[in-house]
Amino acid sequence: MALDDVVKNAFAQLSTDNSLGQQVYNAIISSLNDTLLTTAKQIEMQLDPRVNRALKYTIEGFNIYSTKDNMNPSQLYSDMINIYKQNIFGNSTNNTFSNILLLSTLYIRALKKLGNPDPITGKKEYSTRQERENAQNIISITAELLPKLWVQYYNSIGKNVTEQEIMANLDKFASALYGAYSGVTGSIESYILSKTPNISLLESSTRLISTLNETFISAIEASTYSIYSKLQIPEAVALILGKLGQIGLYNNTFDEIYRKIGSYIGQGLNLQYNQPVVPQPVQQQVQNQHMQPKKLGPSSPLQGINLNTPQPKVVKSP
Amino acid sequence: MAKLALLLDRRWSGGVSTHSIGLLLSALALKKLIEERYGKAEVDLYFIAQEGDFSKFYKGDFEQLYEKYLEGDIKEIINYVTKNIYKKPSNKISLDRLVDELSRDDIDFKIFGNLGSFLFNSLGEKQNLDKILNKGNFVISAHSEFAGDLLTDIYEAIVLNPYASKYVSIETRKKIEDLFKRRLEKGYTDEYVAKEVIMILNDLLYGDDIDSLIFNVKKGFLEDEVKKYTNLMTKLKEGYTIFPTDILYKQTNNLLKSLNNFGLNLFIRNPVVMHEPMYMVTLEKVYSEEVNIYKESYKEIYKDTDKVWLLYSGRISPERGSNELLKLYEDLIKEGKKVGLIIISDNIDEDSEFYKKISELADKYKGVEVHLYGKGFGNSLHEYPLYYIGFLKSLGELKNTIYINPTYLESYGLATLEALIFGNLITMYRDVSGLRELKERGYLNYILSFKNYQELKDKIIKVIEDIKNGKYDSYINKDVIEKLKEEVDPEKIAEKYAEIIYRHLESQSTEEETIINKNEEVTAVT
Repeated sequence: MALDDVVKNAFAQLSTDNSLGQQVYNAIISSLNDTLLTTAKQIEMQLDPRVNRALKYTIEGFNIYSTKDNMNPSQLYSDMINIYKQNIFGNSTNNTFSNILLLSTLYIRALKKLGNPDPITGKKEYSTRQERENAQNIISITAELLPKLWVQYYNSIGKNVTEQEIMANLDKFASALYGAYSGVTGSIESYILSKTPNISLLESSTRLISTLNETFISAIEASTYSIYSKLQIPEAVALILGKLGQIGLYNNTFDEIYRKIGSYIGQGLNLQYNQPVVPQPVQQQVQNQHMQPKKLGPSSPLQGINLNTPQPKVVKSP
Repeated sequence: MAKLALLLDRRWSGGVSTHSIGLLLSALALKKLIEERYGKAEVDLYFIAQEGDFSKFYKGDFEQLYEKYLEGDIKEIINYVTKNIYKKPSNKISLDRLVDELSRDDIDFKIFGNLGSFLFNSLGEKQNLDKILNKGNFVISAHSEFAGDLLTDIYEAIVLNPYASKYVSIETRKKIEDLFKRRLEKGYTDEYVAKEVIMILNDLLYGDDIDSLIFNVKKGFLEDEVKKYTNLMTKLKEGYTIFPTDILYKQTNNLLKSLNNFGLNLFIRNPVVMHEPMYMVTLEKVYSEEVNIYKESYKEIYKDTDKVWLLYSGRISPERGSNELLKLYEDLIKEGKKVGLIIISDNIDEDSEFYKKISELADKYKGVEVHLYGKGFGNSLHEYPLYYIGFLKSLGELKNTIYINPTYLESYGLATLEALIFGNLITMYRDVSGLRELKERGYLNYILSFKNYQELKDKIIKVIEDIKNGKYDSYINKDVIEKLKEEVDPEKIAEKYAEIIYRHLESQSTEEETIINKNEEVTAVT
């Protein structure tokens, strides 16, 4: 028996071992869970205006210009989000299509990183070696996943198509959806202009929605990289991403991101890490209490001396 | 008549905040000194406060505070600053007005409480600096070390930030990590580190590789501050710059040398190394009876324990050495030592990791007893400083406490000196930068310094034994402490400021006389 037969036989046995399959599956999912949690924390950090200076300025600009224009920044933000969600996630009855839309965007962005021109503007962009390497992985994964999703989608509306047919025209399918995706900013811009002629507000709204959009897409890309970093088999990553998409990962990720940014809309922002602290105002009442400590009654061991001193918080062994 | 201006920076916590109160007390004493010499002294008082993301400026009422000072109402003066009484809406002034007022020709001398006053706001813009710091008639106090702060910022943005660490090249990360380690090992920022920090920052700010792109988040922020810092440094070719320690001056000089590699010509013309004013000294003098009441109160808590207490006061963070402190405590408990731990910190509460670690220790070992004071537990000792003075005095009288400062970075060591002055406590400290200098200048006990964890542990075990054997006093040099207390007294510091001002004003008048004489000579010749 040749050596490859030895290996073949051994793996044939492994593939029928259900208990091993479950164990491997559990190990992978647990490892991915940790990785994705770390990635989520990293993304969250980028959503903190105290860390992300660019985001801080964007939010401040939006707050200032909308308030100056007598518009409620929170309301305006909410309107913009509704337009975005309507365009990207649709009516949510067909999750598959919005997943396709998103993955197509990832696919085209990755192609651009590899030197292909933007399908809408025709512009080329410069990428570093690391970015190109990441882009290549994204392409392998999304190219695996997209045809399957398209077939699934078309089947659901009663159209018959094969994965091979989609694969043959994948760039065209993806470019069309990428165009639709990019168009969401235009819809929001036209909405702002329907409300106000204020160009500064238009610009700051566009900046805000672009920041949100970029963060969202980057978050999905980063999650894909993290899964791939643990499991370097594009087919397997595609399976997992497809499943995560079905159970609403993208939609929920977007919701978290827009809520987090929304929590800073319409209010002052906290400080950058190594900037000065904001002094806490102290109530006059508290101050007086400290300045004129009350005297204790005669039962005090120190015979009426004020003992209104701070007492320690004690942590002791039981 | 002499006219002075004083700018206090209230945006910061920690040492700079404490210094601003001390400096105000020194300025009040200074007014008295100047009036004795020049008849009348007028002082314009200004504050920088942080509101939201912006610096706001206030003009205070120095005359009102001076009246309080003469009445001995020091509490009111301190409240004026700490309880934000100066922040009345009618006291608020614009940046333009502050710049205009600080640029007036009739001001004889200006005192700036913090070099950082000109950073993180628009006051440090070149055109403002040109107006305010243009005649050499000013003194600025430096508190922190900019190259070290920059390195910490870069370290956080590139090495600690897990998002960046995934994409930034290993070489860059390693280089930053090595520099960070080198600084911690050396205990200060040497010339090599300062030079490399500036080089790395230059690459990160102006490069177009992926490392620079990742750094982008911090880019605008740091670039702006570095520019302002450089502008400010060009102004220190005039005026006087005060450093609390020589090592801080040296570190600043190292940074200037590094910046000079880029074609600049920066230097500090008149460096002055002197102590920072300690406002608690004034408080203790004026309110000694009240302090005694609090002292007795705390003695009740700590007198009947058979433990030796370890005391830590300050921020909880790795560079402050707080992790090693906890490790030390755990090791001592494991070895069966009867020790308690007192932590005074405003950045810890029941939700913090550090608190959880303490609770775990208490669950794991017998004999653990940790006392915590701070805003997070609603029992801060610093909110009303007389409590803190009384607290330190009680521990000092009971002779059962060792103060530990395990920090890796310290430009001065105000909290350590407070423990020494008010508590006469045995003070153990890491042999780094400012603390090393205080040791070399004879204020801190040579025997009580440590370089690494093992040395700390060995020494603390010995000190605990000595305390139990009644040898507490062998570690305390009361003469040195008394001398130190006099030197950091705000009134004493006022005398130092007065010397600087006299020197400046009198050199000015000599200069003016020379010019007049020369003019007269010219007229005569003509």
